[in-house]
Amino acid sequence: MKKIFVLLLLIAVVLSLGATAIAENDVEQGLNDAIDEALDNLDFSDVNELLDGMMFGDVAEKVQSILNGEFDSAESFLQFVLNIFADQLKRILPTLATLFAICVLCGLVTVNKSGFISSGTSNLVYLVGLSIVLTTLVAVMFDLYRSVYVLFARLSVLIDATMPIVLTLMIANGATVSASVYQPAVAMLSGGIITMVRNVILPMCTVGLVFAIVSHLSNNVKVTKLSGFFTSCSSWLLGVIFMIFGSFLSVQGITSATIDGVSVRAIKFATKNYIPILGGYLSDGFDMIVASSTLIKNAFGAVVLLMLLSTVLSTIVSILAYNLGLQLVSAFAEPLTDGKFIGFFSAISKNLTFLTVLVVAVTFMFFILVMLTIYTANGFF
Amino acid sequence: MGNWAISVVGTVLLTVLADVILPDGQTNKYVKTALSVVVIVAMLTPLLKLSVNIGWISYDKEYQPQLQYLYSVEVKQEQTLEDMLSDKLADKYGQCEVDVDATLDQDGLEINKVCVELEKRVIDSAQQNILFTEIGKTVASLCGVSEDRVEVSWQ
Repeated sequence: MKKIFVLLLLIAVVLSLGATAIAENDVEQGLNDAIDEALDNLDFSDVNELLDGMMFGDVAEKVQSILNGEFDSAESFLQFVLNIFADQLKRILPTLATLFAICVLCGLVTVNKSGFISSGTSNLVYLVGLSIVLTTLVAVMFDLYRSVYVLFARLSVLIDATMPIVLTLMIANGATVSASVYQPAVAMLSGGIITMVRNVILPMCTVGLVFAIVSHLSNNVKVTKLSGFFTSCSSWLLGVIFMIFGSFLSVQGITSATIDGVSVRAIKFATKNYIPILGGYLSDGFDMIVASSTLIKNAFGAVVLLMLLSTVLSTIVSILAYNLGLQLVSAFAEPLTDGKFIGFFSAISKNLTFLTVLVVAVTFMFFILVMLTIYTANGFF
Repeated sequence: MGNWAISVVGTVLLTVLADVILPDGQTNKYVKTALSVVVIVAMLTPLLKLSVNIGWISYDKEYQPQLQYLYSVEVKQEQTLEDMLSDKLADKYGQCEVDVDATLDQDGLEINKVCVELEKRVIDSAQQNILFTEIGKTVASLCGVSEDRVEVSWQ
């Protein structure tokens, strides 16, 4: 009798475990099916067009691979960044070497002015050297400014292509208040802030750079303070924009997420608790829909962040490489050359630092926006 | 912007060249002063053409959600609701067909109408009214809608 009882107990335990495992498998299968169906219904064509030059592959496949846990490791990402940096340094090394050589030559010519080179010849050689350095640096700077200008246009296009999908998934999640809050924020970033950066801050930065170059070119034309004024204006404007955008997003994002969370929980409470036995069915079904939308939203958000990093990385690394390169040339050439060249390099280096800050600030605003959309409408379970 | 920068830098280079070429003396000072004025005019020329217009800052971009996806979610949520209501009503009121008409858009999911068709049975009209009212109240509270959006009828 005892043996029969123990055997029956064992059978009951094994069956319950199996039932749990089967139930869990059903839920997982149901969720996978819901995700596959949702990915088929979403239109990623606008985003796929942007990915053409990025070697990313199809967006839906990338989202699927992230959902399956196949994420790039931090080491591979760091290696990728270091490779880009090394490539940029190799590319600019001849330019930096040329600048260093000309600086040293002009320095030697200036030192030997009263020696075996006549004053007139020395001045002429110095002027030619200065012109060559100036031409090279101005060409480099305008190339960088053009790439930054194009970068902001691409960021705007990226926002316009990806945000409708994120907003769609937020609405499907039930986060309608958050979606209605983030729409104007995204429009502000894409339509207002990026336009202001391209049409006001970048030109002011260019003007400041030109005045900095001019003030170091000639002793008669002194516009150092004017250059400082434009650079300060640009910095202040950027700071104000960043502060307003960040404050607006933080406050609106938190309150809207709370409202959405309360309303969705209210729906679940009403359906699950009003029906004592079968109430769980509706909220489970509801959870399946919301869960698949949430998972896709988060995975797609991760893909958007990767796209963002891929878009800005090469430009930022390029600017940083030139900045560090110029500072290195300046450091090595300082004992050997005239203060005018060092002043040039220093002014351009400061300008490049501000350019880096500008790109990083706009990228960070976009980054915050995407992260908030990922983390909003996740707290419904 | 590029043309402006080139004109300014070119003018300054001319000033430096003049400084190198011209002999020292009174003429040199006057030429340098004149060229400095030319440089300042070259720098300020764009300001004379400036017209303040912030119309290019636009905040009226609207991002439209993907209606195809929202429609598929709407259909699934309608199906889920219909299954739940059928199961719940079957216990007490017998087999019935439920049809839910909902809309999912930027304002969220809104249930427009719920139609419940009960299996035909023989009862008097007074009992029928009580039954329909009871079912209407149950369905309305489950779906979170007003009773006028619930329609109960026989199959």
